[in-house]
Amino acid sequence: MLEKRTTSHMKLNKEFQILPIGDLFCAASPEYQGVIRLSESGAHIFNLLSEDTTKAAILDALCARYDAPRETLEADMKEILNQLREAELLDE
Amino acid sequence: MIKIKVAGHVFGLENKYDFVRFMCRGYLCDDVPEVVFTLSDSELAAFDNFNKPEVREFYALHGKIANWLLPHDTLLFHGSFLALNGEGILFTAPSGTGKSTHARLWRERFGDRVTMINDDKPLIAINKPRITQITQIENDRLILNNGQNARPAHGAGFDFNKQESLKLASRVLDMKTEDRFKINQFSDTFVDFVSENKSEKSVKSVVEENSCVVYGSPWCGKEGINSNTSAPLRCIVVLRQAAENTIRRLMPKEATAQFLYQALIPNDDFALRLKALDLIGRLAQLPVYELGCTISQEAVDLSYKALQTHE
Repeated sequence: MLEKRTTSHMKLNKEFQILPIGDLFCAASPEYQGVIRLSESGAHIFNLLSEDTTKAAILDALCARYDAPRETLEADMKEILNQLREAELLDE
Repeated sequence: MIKIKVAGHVFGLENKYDFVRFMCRGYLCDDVPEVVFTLSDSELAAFDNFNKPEVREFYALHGKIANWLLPHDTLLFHGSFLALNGEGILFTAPSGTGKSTHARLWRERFGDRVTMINDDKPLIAINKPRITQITQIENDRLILNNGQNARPAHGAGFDFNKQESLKLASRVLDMKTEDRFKINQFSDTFVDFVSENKSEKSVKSVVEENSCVVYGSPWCGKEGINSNTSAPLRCIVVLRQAAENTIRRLMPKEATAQFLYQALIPNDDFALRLKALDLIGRLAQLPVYELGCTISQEAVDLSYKALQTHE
């Protein structure tokens, strides 16, 4: 199961616009009521998820971009993915 | 139909109940409406948390007005707005934190000098950044020019004028009062002046400012505290209940995170939602503070100091 999760593909099931709002990032979509508040790395993950990707690919991209321990970035990523799952915005 | 003027715009309201006229009595006018609102059954149904049909109608019309105002750069915001000697301060917080209580403490402290403009849902007209060109001739002499991109803000009090220019200059030069300036020349579009003290600072050539004006409206919370007037918004204070009184300036990022919960963001219209977000981002560029406060005059000392800093 764990193996399957790391290699399985995922993608946002709605098209979102990422907007810089007052030094924050927000995601909004005509297909989704409400606004999702994002950190900078969260916005980056959102962008990656606009196309078909995997957990491993997202983590690699985060590690290349941010100077932070891989474990920290992985924890951040998992948190965002869980939020998206709860909101039923993720196809996997 | 009744006609009312709110936030500088004239609305026609097709009302079934006289309650709407009664609630809007301070805002009635005879001008030609820019838009007339008639409510459909489904629009009324969205407000069925109000039992009485007349109250439902009153709030459904409010929703129509607030949505219509968004493309006119005007945002409905949850908070208590008051002006002290014409300078506006907005208190915001989740319901039950004590906005109205803090505003009441201001009235107790300053009496008639305070105007309560709206105790619950003020309307904020947020102008695009106004560009004022600053030219530093010498280290004690500046020329401020309103530039070609400048336009007067909504409502009164924000046109390029001597007082505003000098306030801007005193901020740029880190000076406290306007008295330390001597004006060489002054017109509608520029002011040329010398400060008494030589400034240590080198001035940016251009300063951009968001200028906001806040309006009262008939929709103002259960106490009915409002006045049909407006005032420039100098600073926003986010209240938080605390055991001790403390104040700190919020970064635009922190302010935005708070405002996302306190501004009207329409759910059913994507274009309006984007517009609301844009306005929230602009509003977050203003001076915003977080006040951890008790119910006390000591807390008023702190929020009063915040307003004074940005007058």
